[in-house]
Amino acid sequence: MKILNLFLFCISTFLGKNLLSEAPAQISNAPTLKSTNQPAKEIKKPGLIAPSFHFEVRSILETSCVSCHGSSSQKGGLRLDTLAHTMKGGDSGPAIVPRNIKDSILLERIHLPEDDDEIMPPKEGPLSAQQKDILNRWIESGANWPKGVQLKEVSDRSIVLRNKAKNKKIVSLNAYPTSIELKTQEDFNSVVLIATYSDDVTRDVTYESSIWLKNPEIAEFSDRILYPIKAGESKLVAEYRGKKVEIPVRVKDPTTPRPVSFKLDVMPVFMKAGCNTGSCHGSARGQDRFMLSLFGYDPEGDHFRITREQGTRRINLAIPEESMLVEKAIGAVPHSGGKLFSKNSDHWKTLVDWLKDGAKEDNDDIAKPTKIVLSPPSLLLEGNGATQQMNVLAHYSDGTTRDITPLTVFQSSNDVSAAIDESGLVTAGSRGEAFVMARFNIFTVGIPAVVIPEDLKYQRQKLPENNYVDKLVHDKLHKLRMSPSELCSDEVFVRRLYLDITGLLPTVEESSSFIADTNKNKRSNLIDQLLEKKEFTELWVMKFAELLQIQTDDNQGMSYKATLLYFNWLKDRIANNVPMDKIVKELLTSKGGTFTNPATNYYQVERDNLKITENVAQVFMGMRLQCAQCHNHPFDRWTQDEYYSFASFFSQVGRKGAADPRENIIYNRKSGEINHPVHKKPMPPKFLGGDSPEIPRGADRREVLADWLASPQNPFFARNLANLVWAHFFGQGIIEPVDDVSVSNPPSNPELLDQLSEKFTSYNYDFKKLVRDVCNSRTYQLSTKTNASNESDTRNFARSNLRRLRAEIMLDVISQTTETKNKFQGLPLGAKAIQIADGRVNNYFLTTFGRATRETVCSCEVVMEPSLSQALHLLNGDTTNKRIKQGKVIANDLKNGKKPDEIIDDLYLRCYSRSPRDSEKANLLASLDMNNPQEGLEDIFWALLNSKEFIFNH
Amino acid sequence: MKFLSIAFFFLLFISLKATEPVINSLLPRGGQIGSTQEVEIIGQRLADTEEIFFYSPGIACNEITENKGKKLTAQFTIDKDAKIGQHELRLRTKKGISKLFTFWVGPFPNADEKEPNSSFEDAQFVTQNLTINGVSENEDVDYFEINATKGQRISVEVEAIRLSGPLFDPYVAILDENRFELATSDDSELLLQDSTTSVIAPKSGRYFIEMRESSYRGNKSFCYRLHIGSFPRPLVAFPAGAEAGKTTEFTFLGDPSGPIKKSIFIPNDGRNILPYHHSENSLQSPSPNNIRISKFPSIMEVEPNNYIKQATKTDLSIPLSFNGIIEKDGDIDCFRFQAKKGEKYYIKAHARSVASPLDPVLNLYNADGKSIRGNDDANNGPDSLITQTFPKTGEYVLRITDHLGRGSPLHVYRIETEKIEPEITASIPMFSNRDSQSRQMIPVPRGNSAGTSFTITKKNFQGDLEFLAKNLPQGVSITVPKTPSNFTSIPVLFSANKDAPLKQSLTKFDIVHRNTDKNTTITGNYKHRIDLVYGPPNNRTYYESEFNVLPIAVVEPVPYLVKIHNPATPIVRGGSMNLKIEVIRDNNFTKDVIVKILTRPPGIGAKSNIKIPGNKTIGYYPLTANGGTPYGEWDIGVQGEAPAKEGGNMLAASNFIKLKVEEPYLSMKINMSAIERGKNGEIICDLDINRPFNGLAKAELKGLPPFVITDQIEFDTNASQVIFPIRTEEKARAGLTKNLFCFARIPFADNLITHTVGQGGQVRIDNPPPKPKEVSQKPNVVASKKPVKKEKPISRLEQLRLAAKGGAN
Repeated sequence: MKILNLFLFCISTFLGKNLLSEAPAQISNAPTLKSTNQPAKEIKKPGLIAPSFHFEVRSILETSCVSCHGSSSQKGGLRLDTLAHTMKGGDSGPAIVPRNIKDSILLERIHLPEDDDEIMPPKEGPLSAQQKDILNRWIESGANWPKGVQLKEVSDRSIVLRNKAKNKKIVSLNAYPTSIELKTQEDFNSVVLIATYSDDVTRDVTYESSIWLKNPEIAEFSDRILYPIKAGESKLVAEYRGKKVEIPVRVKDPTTPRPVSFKLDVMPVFMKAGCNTGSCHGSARGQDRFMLSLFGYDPEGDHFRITREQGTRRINLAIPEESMLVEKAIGAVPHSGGKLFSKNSDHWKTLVDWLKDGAKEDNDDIAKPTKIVLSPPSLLLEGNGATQQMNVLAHYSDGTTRDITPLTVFQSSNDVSAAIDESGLVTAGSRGEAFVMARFNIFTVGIPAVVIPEDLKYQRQKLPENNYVDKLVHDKLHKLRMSPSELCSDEVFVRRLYLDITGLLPTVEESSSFIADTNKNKRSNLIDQLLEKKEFTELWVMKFAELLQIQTDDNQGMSYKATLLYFNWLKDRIANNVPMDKIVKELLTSKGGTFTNPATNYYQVERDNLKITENVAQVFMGMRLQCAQCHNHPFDRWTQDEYYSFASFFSQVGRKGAADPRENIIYNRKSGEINHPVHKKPMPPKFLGGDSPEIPRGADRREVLADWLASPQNPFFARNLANLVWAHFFGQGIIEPVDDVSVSNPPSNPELLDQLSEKFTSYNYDFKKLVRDVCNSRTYQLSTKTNASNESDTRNFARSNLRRLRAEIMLDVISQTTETKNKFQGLPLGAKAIQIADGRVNNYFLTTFGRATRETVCSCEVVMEPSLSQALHLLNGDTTNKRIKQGKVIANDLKNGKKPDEIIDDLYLRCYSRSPRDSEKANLLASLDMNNPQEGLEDIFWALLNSKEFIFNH
Repeated sequence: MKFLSIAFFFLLFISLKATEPVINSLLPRGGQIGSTQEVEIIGQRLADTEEIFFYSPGIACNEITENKGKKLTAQFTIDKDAKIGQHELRLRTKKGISKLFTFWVGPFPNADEKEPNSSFEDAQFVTQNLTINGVSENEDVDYFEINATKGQRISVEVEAIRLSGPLFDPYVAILDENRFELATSDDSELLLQDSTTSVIAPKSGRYFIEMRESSYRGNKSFCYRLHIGSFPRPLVAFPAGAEAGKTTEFTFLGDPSGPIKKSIFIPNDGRNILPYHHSENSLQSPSPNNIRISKFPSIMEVEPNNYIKQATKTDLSIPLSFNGIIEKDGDIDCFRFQAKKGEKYYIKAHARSVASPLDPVLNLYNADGKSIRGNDDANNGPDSLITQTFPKTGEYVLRITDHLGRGSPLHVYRIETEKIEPEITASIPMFSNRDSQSRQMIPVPRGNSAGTSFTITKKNFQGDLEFLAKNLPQGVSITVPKTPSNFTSIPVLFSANKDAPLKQSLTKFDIVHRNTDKNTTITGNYKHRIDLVYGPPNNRTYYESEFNVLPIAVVEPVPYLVKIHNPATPIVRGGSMNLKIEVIRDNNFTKDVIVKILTRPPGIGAKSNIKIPGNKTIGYYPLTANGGTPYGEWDIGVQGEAPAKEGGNMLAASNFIKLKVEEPYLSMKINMSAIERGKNGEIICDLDINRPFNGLAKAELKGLPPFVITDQIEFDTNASQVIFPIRTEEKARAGLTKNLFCFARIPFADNLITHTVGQGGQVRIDNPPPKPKEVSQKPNVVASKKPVKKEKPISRLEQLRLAAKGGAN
């Protein structure tokens, strides 16, 4: 209604202000924007140039006026954020009178002498002459104020950014939510408008757009929030720079009050105010002996504790405002948690209203939230200081929706790049990526936000794309305004590929012949060739042996014999290229003796069925469910109910002794349940993030689970394995850590991960094919050298990462280059460290370099960080020096008549897969005693083995 | 694995022993039937070896050809009719008997494994039907090459874990000349961890046998005997048992040549098992197929019998046996039979015990198919056992299937119903944990005694027992006290004459319960289970043998005697006494003697041992009797242990004395009292004299806190109270002291009988009250003027509000 007033005013240039106040009643249909502009032009006086509202006028009002005269503060009773308010004016009368410079108090105030008490703005000095002129001309020319525009205070920085976007091309304008339903008196819904430019940059244009309701009788739109007035349907129209978007609006029962619900209104207050976090009342004992369930996993329990646990100490139904619960929250009485919200705030009202209503528990049939939607779905913010308001809509089981933005807890994964405040306003910081998250009830959702600096000199390069991997990586890099590094050299490639695929260095002959090869397809040929080597299999057997925790533990029923059988079973499957889904199915559904059917050792390595549940989720789906055992997962979507529903698949795993005391028999007990700790009842089996299958009594639940788990129906299985493969070749996963798939840890390139997982599924889970795709991509073959645009990149594969060799590979490579043999328990002399079956086999070198202990399934067990003890061991320990002497590489070369310079060439090829540079060679030769070069050459060898170039894959 | 073998040797060597000889190794581990085999024994204290004796007939040590003290060479003569398989032997010296050792007799000539044979290329060529004595070193794989003609059977069988050394779990494979595996065997139902497999040679040519530890472990003590040949190797017999005294046709399954049928006469000589070695072209399989023998008829399954309604029916009443095969996955067999009301039976499914791969699950139903009970595993094994008293006379149904729902033509079973009868067994308790051999043989010194205790296990009856030793060595006598019904352990004494010959005997015992009312007797045996192989987890037994004979030998005299003096007084319930022990040493013997009680009657407590130092002859063995000790006269014996020059211990047991347990003379209750620190007080105890006594008794209060002192009190038989005067020092700590008690010593024929009475008494030491302060008048006046107004307590929230206003918290 207010909006209408001001438009009316714009066209009625000769009407006095008396008429203005009566105008709303006379005008029922609002004129269009076009017609609004028309009269303004016509009445232009000669020589008077009307200033542009959007580009000249508004910024003055926004920066200098609205902070004190806006929606949040109205000094002198004056608001200057909408035309209607401005015309209405404050205590001293209308602020502006169009075409009347003299009666416009606004002009009067800004023109006062600097030392006058009444001068506006009161702080930061008077307006500049130019600004004053703009306002003069604006009012004189009729004070054009486009329809449906509401101003709010903005920073100077935002105005700079807005002006920079002025000339950019908009490709789309989107409004969120896409439809609005208001039901009951208290309902409301906020609206966010986002414009997307031709360079993918997004901007929040909610306050820059014209927004109005087609039928203004049914709802009121104020300060970007829609409030119900009358039942009916209409459309909210928004326009920005020629782009228009419409939001269907439906209003129902606008006069029906909505009773305060404990679960739907009060519990969210606890979450939003932080009452039920782990450090406060959500801790197991509860802060100051008042316990609330952590993040509200047990509303019934919370209701009991508030209303009855200590008599009625915590609440006062006679005078609700004086309840301890309320007084503590507003800080009226001492509270360890401090003041959480103020008296008369919405949260306060919720609590008090609920208490006034008798502090009732909800009926059983109360609607439950089914999902929440955080909008806009992605952000690309340009320039430090750019902002974007988020909004969150909850969907309920009864089909209704509700704007829960004020009740949502917001978080950002990277406050430096994109901080989010408690109202949901994202502010861009320095260049980078962030994941902006919203948490409400049991849901956590998030959207990606990218921040780029403004005025970036960037031109998307046309780069060759070897396959889909490159396309998706390049697309992402473009968003970040990065260019990938150049392709690595053949010398680097051959060493990298051998290490990644076989866990060994190329021999001198292998690297020389590859470098000399002139075939155009030599890189992909080499990939094909190496994939057929048995070392490729062995490497992956080792990696899976870590995930399956294959290790001896005699007193836990894992004898060495079982360990060996289990390892050989795995080796046999991987060597025969059995698809991963088959292997996983075989593992999960295994039954029989741990000797006769080694796959059953999966249930022997871990005998706690809850831990098995967690391990299955972590290893095969990449999820850490552990938190949800005791409470809803704080950073992910998993609830305690879902945890126990998933655990139910393993509740009937039976174990019994076999004839051999070392052996155990795993079988389907056909009965048995795991009880939910809150209500002490079993949960029916339900796939994680999936359906509840019908399982006949006595049927093996594990089979049902395995059929789903290792199938395309499970969205996590293929993605997780694809991510594992990716992480092996890039040193980090698209999701990193690889076994921490959660809402709060999104993939750095979701499209790439989706595509990889889709391919993996279509390859029938043959991961050799996936490896081929990954290695053939240009992305894998990039140099480690950075360029100006990508030097800060760590997560987007714009360049190759330097990766320390993992413990087993390092030891194998040292024994390979020194031509010495390893001896490990249970393996013949000369075996490789990656062939070790039993995680318990002791080896000082491997332990120092961070071999997985296989005590948990966590990917964090493999330590890749270099440490002082590692460096000292290489320098002083017996591994390098002793092996150089033992292997007699140098002695034999000298004996065979090789010259020192040839030997240096050979050593470089041996260790680095490249020839020495002339300068390197000259320096080294100069240091040698030519009469007795052996010692010197051995020193060179030692130095090479200790160099970073050797211990890193690059 | 190294750890295991160390643990094994630890058990072998370190535990305390008598001066017995020790066999560390005996090689080779076996020999061919009908031959003379030279063996080399390495051990300790072998110098005065008198003989090596065997447990079963057909094998003997005729001659010890060389004896170097720690190593000796002997000739074993193996008769043609000796049992094929394990033979047990011990070595006897003039001072003792060794632990049991095993020696294996096989049907084939023997050869030694010759390294290098650790690769396929270096395979050792051997002829067929040969037994190879080999060793698996660490990560050692042994290959043997044979020639076979097309259609010929190639059978391999290994004795490894059964040789009773370390936990040696073997693996064998038969490969063709292209290294293709024709057959492999790791564990087998027939031989447990030991392996056996056989194939029919697909063509004439070279074949290879791979032999190793299943997880590539090993060391010098990992000996094996590998039988390679064309002998038949059936895996399981069907039916798995038969009725004694009848000829039954059996089908032997699992041989690669197909089922073998054979009619066999089942002997009726009391044996439960017939070890049957199938023979073909005079080639015998080295390990037998065990056929169970029952005294009752066998019922054979008739398919279809998958449902209770289709059950194979017999009109016979149990005891019966039910025989069948779970032929395919999901197969279920049911039997309908008759049983009489009130009869109590074990119903046992034999599957693993007859080398069948079946893991039976047994269920019992009544005639209508209503479940009565079921069982999967029993007695730490997969075979099932149901114990059932039948509620009424009529039909019942047994149902059997595989635990994992699997089946095959080899999944043979035999369900036996055995009426529950009274049982008695006696055994010698283990000397230490996981040591089934130490002190389980009795060396009796000439002119002296040796003792042990027997643990008695009775099932399904109660009553007194008698012990009868059947074949003691010449000149040895046995003393066994009467064994009342409530005793689970009794001491046994073996005494040798001064001139008894140095000989041994594997002595049998009859343990008899005679019921004079019913005129019935129940007889049981001595039982000794020897754990021959231990392994993980927690040193579980992998291989064992059971015997019912106790080796007893007369050995050279030891230089001391042990005597217990008859106690001068009885012991009373809740009382204590010291037994006087005397060690009578030979002149030049000055070692300490450790004296241990052989066993204690129920309710009697005693230290595990006392030491009588070399310079003393008398020691006192404290005994206590708890409140439940049965009244009566019980035999008590002790045994001395003294170190011998050549290592080990010399043992000599004492005579038995009678320990009389009587009712106590009095009881007492200590009344609680409170005494101020630094002051004197008293503790009053109420007496209840049950039996009058003469003279003055003494009472002594125990358990007082430090710096709280009392005196001994005397009282006579008429006293109803004793009062202990208590003095406390300033240093005493205030507080409550619990667990006071009193020693009451009652005069008895110039001696005193100690009673422990009044347990649980309490005394409280209080701090002195604070000294009254200088009292000023003023506060009193104020207090009297202004009566205290009782304020309403403020709530927590009100407190907080005050705090918020800056008031008191």
